[in-house]
This record gives sequence, C-alpha cells and structure tokens, in this order.
Amino acid sequence: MKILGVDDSRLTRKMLRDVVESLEYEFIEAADGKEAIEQIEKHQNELNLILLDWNIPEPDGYEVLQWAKHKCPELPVMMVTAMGQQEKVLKALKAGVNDYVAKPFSKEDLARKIQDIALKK
Amino acid sequence: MVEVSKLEVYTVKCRYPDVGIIRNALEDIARVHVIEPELLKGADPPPDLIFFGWGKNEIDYSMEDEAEARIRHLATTCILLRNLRNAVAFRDVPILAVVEQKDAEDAVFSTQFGSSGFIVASLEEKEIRRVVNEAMRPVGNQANIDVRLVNPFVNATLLVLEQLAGLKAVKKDVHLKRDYHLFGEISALIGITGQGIEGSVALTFQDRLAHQIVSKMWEKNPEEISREDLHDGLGELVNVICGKATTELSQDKELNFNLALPTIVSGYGHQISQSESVPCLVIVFEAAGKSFAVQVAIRSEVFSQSSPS
Repeated sequence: MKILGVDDSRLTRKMLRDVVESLEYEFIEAADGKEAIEQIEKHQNELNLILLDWNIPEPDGYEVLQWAKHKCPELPVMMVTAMGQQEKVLKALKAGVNDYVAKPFSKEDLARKIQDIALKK
Repeated sequence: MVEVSKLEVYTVKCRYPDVGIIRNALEDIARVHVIEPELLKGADPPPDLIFFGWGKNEIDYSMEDEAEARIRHLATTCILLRNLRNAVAFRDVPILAVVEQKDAEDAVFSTQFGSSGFIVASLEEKEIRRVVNEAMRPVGNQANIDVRLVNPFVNATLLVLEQLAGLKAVKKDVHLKRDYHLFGEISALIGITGQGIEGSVALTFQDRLAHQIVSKMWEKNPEEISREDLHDGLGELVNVICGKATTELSQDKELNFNLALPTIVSGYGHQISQSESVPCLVIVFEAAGKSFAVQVAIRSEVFSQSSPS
C-alpha cells in the first residue's frame, strides 16, 4: 500500500511518515500543491491514499483535492488540517474527501483512520 | 471618595536630576522609584512603566580609542535594555529611554533592544506627561479585552503544546498591548482574514524555549535541531494553534476565518506591521519554567460591536 502525504511542514510530513511506516505501508511526500499533483500523476496506478493538508502553497489543498478527484475518482483522500471550520469541512466533503483528521492529531487516531480506509479497499 | 490607584514607575540608570523632574511631572498619577536593574528580575507585580537612562555620560572618554569607547557603551547599554525587557517576561511594560540628545542611532538601537519610545533630556514635565500618556495607551480602537477572543487561544495553546510537544503550559497573564512589538527572540506569525476580520497571531519565544519545544515535536535532542527544523516546527505550532482557536471562535460566532501560511521572524525587537486600528492583546504563558507569549491582533466587527460588559 502506497500513501502520499501532502503538507508544507516538514515536521508534519515526518509525523505522517512515522504513522504510515509504523503500519508497514510505503510513504511518499509532497510539500506543496504543485508537487502533490506531480506525485499523483507519477504514482497514480500504485497510490492507495492521499493525506492532504488544506493550507498549502498554491494550488491549495482544496484545489489539489478537486484535481485528484477528477483525475482518479476512486483514490481515497483524507484531509489532515488545522482548519476545522464547519464550512470548510463541508466544502471538502462535498468535493469528495473520504475522511477528515483535525490537527493536532494523535498518531494512534491517524493510524486507525488509515487502517479503516485500507480495509475498505 | 475612591482613591484611584497610582502607576508604579521605575527609573533605571537615570540621572538624579532627571528622576526629580519625572517625579514632579507624574506626582498626581504615579509613584516613582529608583531601581537597580538586577532588582527588576522577578518583580511581581511588574511596574507599569520604566524610564531607562541611556547614559551617554557614562562613555569612558579616558580610553585611547574614542570609537571603541562608544561601541563598548552601546553594547553594554543594549544588553542591559534587553535584560530589562526579559526581566518583565513578555509583559507589555513600556520602557522609555531617556537620552541626552536626539540621536537616530540610539533610537534605532533602543527600539531593537526593547524600548517602546524615547524622551530627550533636558526633560520637561509637559513632554514627560505627553510621552507617558502615549506609551500607556493601547493600540487599536477597542478599549477592553474581549474574553471571547482570549479563551479560544488560551485553550488551543495549552492543548496543542501538550499534544505536539508533551509540555504542560500555564497561563500567567493577559493584557492589552500598547504597540505591535514582539518581545521574543524568535516568533512565528500567521495572518488571519475573513469577512469583516483582519489581523494576525504571533507566538513569541526566547530561543532556548523555542528549541526545547521544537526538539520535543521532532523527537530529537535540542542540539540536533537545525534552523530549518526550528522554523518548520514553530510554523506548524502557530498554524495548529490558530486552526484550533479559530475553529472554536467560528462555532460560537459563525465567523469565517482564513489562515495565511505561517512565517518566522527572528532577531530581537521585531514588530508586526499592522493597521493601527487593530487591537492587540498578549497572553503570557509559562512552560518548562520559561515564559512565552501569544500575541493576538484581530479586528472583527463582531467583537468590536458587542463586547461583553
């Protein structure tokens, strides 16, 4: 199972990597929207999940989500973000996000949510 | 008749004639004390205002090299001023530097190292009153702290620091700021916008505590933390704290916030560029025995129109 983590913070990418690798899945990463789109294009046939921050340099997380859902409609996306406002969560859900984790997250919660999505596949 | 409490004003390294003039100028509103700088550390409660003698008269002109003598004086004075600022531990105590003549270089150095303003000797009572009134006036167009704005940031800071860095912080103090200076050595800032909302939030730390917190976030030793690790960790901290706080605020007031990407500013005496009408408050915390502050400068129609009594 291959998982893409998209966050402009190296620290958060490291935390995402720790969780994903503790589940013995493969982790690849991107620091902004442009890099995320490149990674999705490059790995679209092997990618199983995207962990996506909302607040990243352009294109932002929402635009990446829309692009990913258009390009690979079956690919699950989990928003991992500090922005927990109802309106934004609804916007992400409407755009097809599969799950949502608010920062700060515990590694255990995130691992559980990743496993839930993995088991559904 | 109710007695209005007087301001506690400290003078540090001021010449005795200047102390006398300050005392006369403020006699109906302040008690003026002469304090040795080392006694200020841990002063609880801290004073309301400090006059700091820049003391060009102390330059050692007996030294062979006059330029060297000036540099030495400048360095010792700046360090002393910085120590004064650190001694009041992020509390927004105005420090007014008393200089003998208007000197652009002194002005720059003094604000970089923690002074809030300048007053030029020989002192005049009217001018002292004017400068003190100006220094004591909060920035922005709001006269009171709206607790609805404070609590979400307090809650978010305590929770996020514990969750990301395993550190228990304690809230020590909240007050309105009189300018947009940040008193830490390193600060993480984030701009906040939205409908009818304008402002920014900053976390400001001394370097040592910033390293300590970020090393816990990275699960590394403090000496292994690079500059990039530090900036990244502090950026994430301010981002998550603001996300959490604005989520709580938006649930209560149906506000819609947008957070910009975080930026890091390091170096002593930095200031946020902000529209002057934005009120600014600072929440002082303590963690691992050291102080840090969250500075919230937000103007929102909701908060300025319906402040609680």
